[in-house]
Amino acid sequence: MTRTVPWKARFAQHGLGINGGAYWPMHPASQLDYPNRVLLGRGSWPGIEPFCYVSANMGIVIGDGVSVGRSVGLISGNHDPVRLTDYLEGPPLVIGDHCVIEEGCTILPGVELADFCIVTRGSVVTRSCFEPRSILSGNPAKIVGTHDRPVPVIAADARHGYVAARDFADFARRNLRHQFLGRFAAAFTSPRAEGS
Amino acid sequence: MGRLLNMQLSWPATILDRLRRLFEAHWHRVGGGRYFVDTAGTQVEVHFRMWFAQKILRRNADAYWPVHPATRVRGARFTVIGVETSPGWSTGCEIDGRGGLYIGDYTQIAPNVRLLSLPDGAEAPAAPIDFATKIGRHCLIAMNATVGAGVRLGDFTIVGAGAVVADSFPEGYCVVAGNPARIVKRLDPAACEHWQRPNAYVGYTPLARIGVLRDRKIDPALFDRIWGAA
Repeated sequence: MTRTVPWKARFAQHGLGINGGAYWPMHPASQLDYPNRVLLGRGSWPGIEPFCYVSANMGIVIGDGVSVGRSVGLISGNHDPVRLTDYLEGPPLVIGDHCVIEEGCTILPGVELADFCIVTRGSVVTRSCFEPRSILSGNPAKIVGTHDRPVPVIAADARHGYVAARDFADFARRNLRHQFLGRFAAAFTSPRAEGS
Repeated sequence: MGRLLNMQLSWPATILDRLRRLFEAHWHRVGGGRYFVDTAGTQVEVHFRMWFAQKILRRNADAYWPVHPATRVRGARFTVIGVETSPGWSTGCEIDGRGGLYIGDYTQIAPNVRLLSLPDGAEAPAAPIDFATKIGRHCLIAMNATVGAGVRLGDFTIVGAGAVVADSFPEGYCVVAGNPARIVKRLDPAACEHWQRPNAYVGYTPLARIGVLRDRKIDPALFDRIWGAA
């Protein structure tokens, strides 16, 4: 089943240009920094719910089928604590396939979530979680259990936001800022790019 | 498909973007302030979308600083802000200044932050005598944090994401996080940079003309507590 893009989001992005730089559907009340540093999987639309903040200044990598609730913060760059206008360099924020990030969560910089993780509402994820299928909860988030939900099916025609899956490699090679994507950049900086 | 492969704005959005830039560059000639030009590149630049929502659609119109259309500001008359800080510049914030709220210079406020100055369910006073909540200079309030009523935060207090600040940290130079907020790290005051901006703005108003806000936008008693010497 492919979700249809809400007409409000579509009009805000492509008519008015609110969050218009994003290559995936975003709610006009969400906030986005540096859309070309986000590597998005199929069928995941961070910020389609209102009041999200996708701050990709140090890169965000999101897997397939990730569901992101409202007022979720995906923060990829820490402020320098003694000079607050500067940001500290760091590895990108990585969210695995089929993760569920519930309402009001904040994912802090440098965190890597394994596949099928569930972050319960209002948690603040400060540490990486490399065990698939775990449930994270609390502030700071701890692993409170595991789940064995069936693997959700992603439709065969699911897109990377607005970009069709067959075009995405080309799209990512041309447009994304590969230096912010860590180890995930290798797939898009292969010799096939032939310097164009 | 070509547009998507090149990651550009759509053509209607491109036209609107050009018009917006033209408007922002020349608005001060028509009679408004120079805030579009002067705050460009600062940490709370005035965006056309915020200006339109506040000055034309009159949403959060009593706030004298740029506010995101998706945030809510209450009691702007009893909120005093320092230079180059704008509570509610980000999305989803809830700024309640009805009990008296002060936010120091250069403080950054992330999305979905709640700054409260009244306890839950309390009746708002007609005119607060003093600030219920005071936040110092060069602070950072991270995403989804709540600063409760009656809290004093010193300079360089960094409130972590998702924190609920119920106690005061008046000495500053620390990182507080958690619910309830606790000090997780102290900063070296000598290393912290108290930078200043020449030609600084207080919201839409240049610092040199701060006096026009007194009694027009801000309660005079609270205004004099902060800007009395100026």
